[in-house]
Amino acid sequence: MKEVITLQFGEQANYAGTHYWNLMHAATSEDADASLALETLYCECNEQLDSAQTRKIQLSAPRLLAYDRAGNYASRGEDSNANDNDNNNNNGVDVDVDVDVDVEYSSGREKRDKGNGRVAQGVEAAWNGQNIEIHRQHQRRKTSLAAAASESGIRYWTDYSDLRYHPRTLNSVSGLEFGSSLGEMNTFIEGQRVFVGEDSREEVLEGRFRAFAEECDLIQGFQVLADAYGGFAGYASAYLQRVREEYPKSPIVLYSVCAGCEDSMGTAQQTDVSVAVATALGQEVSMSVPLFAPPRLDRPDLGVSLDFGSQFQTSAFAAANVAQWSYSLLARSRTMDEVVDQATHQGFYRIAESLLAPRLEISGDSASTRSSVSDLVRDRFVACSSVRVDSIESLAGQLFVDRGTAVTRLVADMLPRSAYVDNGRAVALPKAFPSIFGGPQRAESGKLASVGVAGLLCSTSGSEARLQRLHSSLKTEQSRHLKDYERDDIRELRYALDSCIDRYSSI
Amino acid sequence: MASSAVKLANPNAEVLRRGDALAMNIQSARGLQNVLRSNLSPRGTLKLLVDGANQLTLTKDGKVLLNQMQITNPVAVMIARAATAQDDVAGDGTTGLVLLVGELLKQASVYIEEGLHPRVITDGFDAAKREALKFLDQFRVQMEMDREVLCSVARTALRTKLQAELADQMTEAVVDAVLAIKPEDSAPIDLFMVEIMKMQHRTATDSRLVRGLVMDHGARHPDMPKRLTNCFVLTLNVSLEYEKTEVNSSFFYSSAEQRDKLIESERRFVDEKLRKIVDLKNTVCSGVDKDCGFVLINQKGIDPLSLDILAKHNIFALRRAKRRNMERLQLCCGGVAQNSVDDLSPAVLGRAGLVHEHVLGENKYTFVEECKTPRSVTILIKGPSAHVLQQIQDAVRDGLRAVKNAVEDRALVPGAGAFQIACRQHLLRPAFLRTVRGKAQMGIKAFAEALLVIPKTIAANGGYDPMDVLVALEDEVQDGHVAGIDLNTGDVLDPAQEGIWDNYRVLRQQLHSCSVIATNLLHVDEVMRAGRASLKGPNPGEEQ
Repeated sequence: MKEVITLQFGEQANYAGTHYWNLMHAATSEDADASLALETLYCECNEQLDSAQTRKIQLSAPRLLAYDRAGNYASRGEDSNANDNDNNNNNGVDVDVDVDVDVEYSSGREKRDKGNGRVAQGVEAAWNGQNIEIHRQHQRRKTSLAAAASESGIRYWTDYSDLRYHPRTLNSVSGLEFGSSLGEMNTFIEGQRVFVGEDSREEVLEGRFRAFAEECDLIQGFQVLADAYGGFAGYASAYLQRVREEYPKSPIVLYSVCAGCEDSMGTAQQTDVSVAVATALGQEVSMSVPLFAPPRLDRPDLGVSLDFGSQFQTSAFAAANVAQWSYSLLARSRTMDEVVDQATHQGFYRIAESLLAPRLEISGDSASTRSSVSDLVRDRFVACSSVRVDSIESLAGQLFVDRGTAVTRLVADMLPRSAYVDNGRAVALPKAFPSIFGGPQRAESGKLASVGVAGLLCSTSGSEARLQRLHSSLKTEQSRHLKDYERDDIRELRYALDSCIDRYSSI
Repeated sequence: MASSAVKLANPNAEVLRRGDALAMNIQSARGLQNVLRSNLSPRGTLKLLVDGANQLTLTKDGKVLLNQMQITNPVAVMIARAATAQDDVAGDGTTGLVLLVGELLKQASVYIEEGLHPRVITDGFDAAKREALKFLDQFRVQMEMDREVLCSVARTALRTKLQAELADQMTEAVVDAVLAIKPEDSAPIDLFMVEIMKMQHRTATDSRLVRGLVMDHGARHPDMPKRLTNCFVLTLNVSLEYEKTEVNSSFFYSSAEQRDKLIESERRFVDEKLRKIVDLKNTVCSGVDKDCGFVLINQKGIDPLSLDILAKHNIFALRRAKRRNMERLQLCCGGVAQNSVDDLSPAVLGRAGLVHEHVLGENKYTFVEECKTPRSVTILIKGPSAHVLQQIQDAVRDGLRAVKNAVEDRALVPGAGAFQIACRQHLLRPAFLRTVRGKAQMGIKAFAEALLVIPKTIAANGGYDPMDVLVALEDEVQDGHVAGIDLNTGDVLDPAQEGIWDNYRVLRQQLHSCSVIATNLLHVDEVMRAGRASLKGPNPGEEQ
């Protein structure tokens, strides 16, 4: 049980994923001496190796496959003006009409930018067919990490990445050929169709995915970050189905990432989320964890403060969740199997909730009572979906992960040993991490700042209410959002949700 | 202003009214045509694309271009999808299709500006298309597809994408590949049975056809043999990885010995499978065949302990083979792929004369060669850089499709623009025009003129004056000859004599879909964009 393959689908997932890998990178470079099993998440990557860089960390690249629309990658590459000029020339060759880049994005934001005359003009020009719109990237200078930390310059997820990517990692998907929209992949079902289309031409998993798998001695499982709705949710779902066929027993953990709060989603999005969740339940994803922006931060003394308008910040919080669980894999204190078993009661409940309590400080003696843990969970832990987790008695499965707090002391005498992990070290925060956990970002020179974070991964009866809500959004059969689906498919999805609700109601 | 019904219902909707909508459609189609125009024909130029991740693509393949350019104009997307369909059906002719659509709209616009209703023109398009398809059936040359003819087909396809020397070299490889996998009866050819493997190594002229299979991975154990002759090949789809029992997934043990015992008992399942495989090896590799090699190719994983056991018995083992390679291996070497180790027998084994590993830096390649009558082959593409490899791969894929089409159609059409010229003359015959009544004749004329875009572009890309060439060609066709453009002299040639052939189904599909799309676009009288269905939030870093 060694290697883990990570998959990321879609822009929101990649936003979180980049934060996640930054966190992991910070953790590994902080304890370069510690016995972290890098080979679980990283693989060797010896290409383009500079002779000067011979340290072990630099030789490894994440065992990661990231899928996104080509337009969401910023220019990655050597930063020099000469190079930029080259690119301009090249682009000049391949298109004879250049349109200002704002025009391409206009379909997404013209409504908001109405006041902006230039954009409006551009839209009109394109709309009248005077130009073919050809999507060009901004010629961006490579943002230095310091600049990235200022957040204002961040537009693409590759902007704040701290990583060396494996040459196989970055993949672009286009809905142009097989989708029904203008290449955007707006809905779950469109994403599924795009995957099927691509697969019919050349099996998607045969290429880079298989190459990673072939290198692995014994795959521990797959951790997947995917958009919670939209085309890439569907793409991921179709992808995972193929993975499941190929690996019938390996655990697949699906993190459904969304930059916004669950409560503030539109109907269309909610329907898409419902379909995505129901599909995941139907196809044997071992554990599905919703990672939305936390809904309630109005309680006192929480260790988190978020600007909800900033995807950079909310995705950082989602990433901190993922990092919390997978650090155990890196530290070899748990295998993926064990994490899933513990959090989902041996795979019986398939939706787990993720909660974090950063900057948790526990004062007083270790003889705290049972109720105080429940209080702690209620008052200090921040959940990533609209589910309320109040008392730990109502949890069916739970896993506390302690990274530099004293939670272990509290839970040790009331929970079995398999239900908590003490990873000792606090979470090292990478330079490009937003200051959402409050406190000083910079520690003494040469070191990264770090913060203690306690985490709880659990399956709770609270999920029932959430599932009910998802279920009811599939109920309105006249809804225009479901017009792409067959009646039988909807029935099947609702059945999957139904049977899951039944399980939760018995907690 | 009498605003449209949509405006009443949704004041925010964007609407383009009649004249504007048509103008936009025509403009867009012509814009796309302008982008792709210069890529047609062997003399066409290349395009260099730079994508978001700064990856370079160097191509002249219409389909690759259309996919890589991030088009967001609705009309252009429609045309691009049709071109993709063209590629799916025929494997070629995407650039030609885009040119034809653009040209049809351009010709139609002349008449529309004079007040002709689009419906009338499209009626003419329809009639012209039917007649053109009929003419194509007469014009095609039905013949026995021997190797020589197929070679000229492949050469025509490859030369449009590669430089002449390399194209000539790949021609034979492509033709032999298709001939090798061609079924005895006239069942359709499955091109997936030709593996295309890329190796970044040496020069492009080292590319060749391997009568066997090349896989992009090697043995994962240092002690395994690197070169085996006269091999037995066992294809498996059985996991040889240690797996935990499913009933109870957490260990319960109180001492180290207990733990070892548990693991050992779970390990035993895998060992049992391995024992069966080793037994089989020992059975077949005995007596006369004592020196034969034994190769195991598994679609599932093999963990290090199992690899170790296999290496000790001198078995060459590959793990996580491509799903499709399982099928290919059976066609290559014979034998039957096994889903369990329960009924292993010598009968399920395939044979291969030579199995060896080739290491290139980090990457390993395994060659399974010297098979008897392989029914699945590999085209091995070599080249010094990634984009050279990609270019050859695109070309080879087109070449394979062209040869396959020729074999399946049992007919070819003279190339070099000959069909389009002849078809135009055929459509403009008064005898035909008389059969169509009224103004629809305008549509036929527009269609006929539009066909000329292909020879014109070929001539222009070759560096000749399109009009000079057209006049020369028309003279020749008037005399009843089949005439195409000679790109070396700018003169007229007989394509059949020079071995320049187009696929029948490519042209058929092209004629068919270009008129359908042009008709659809001409019928659009209003374009509206209302109520974005997009689920996407605002772009990051952008004000809300």
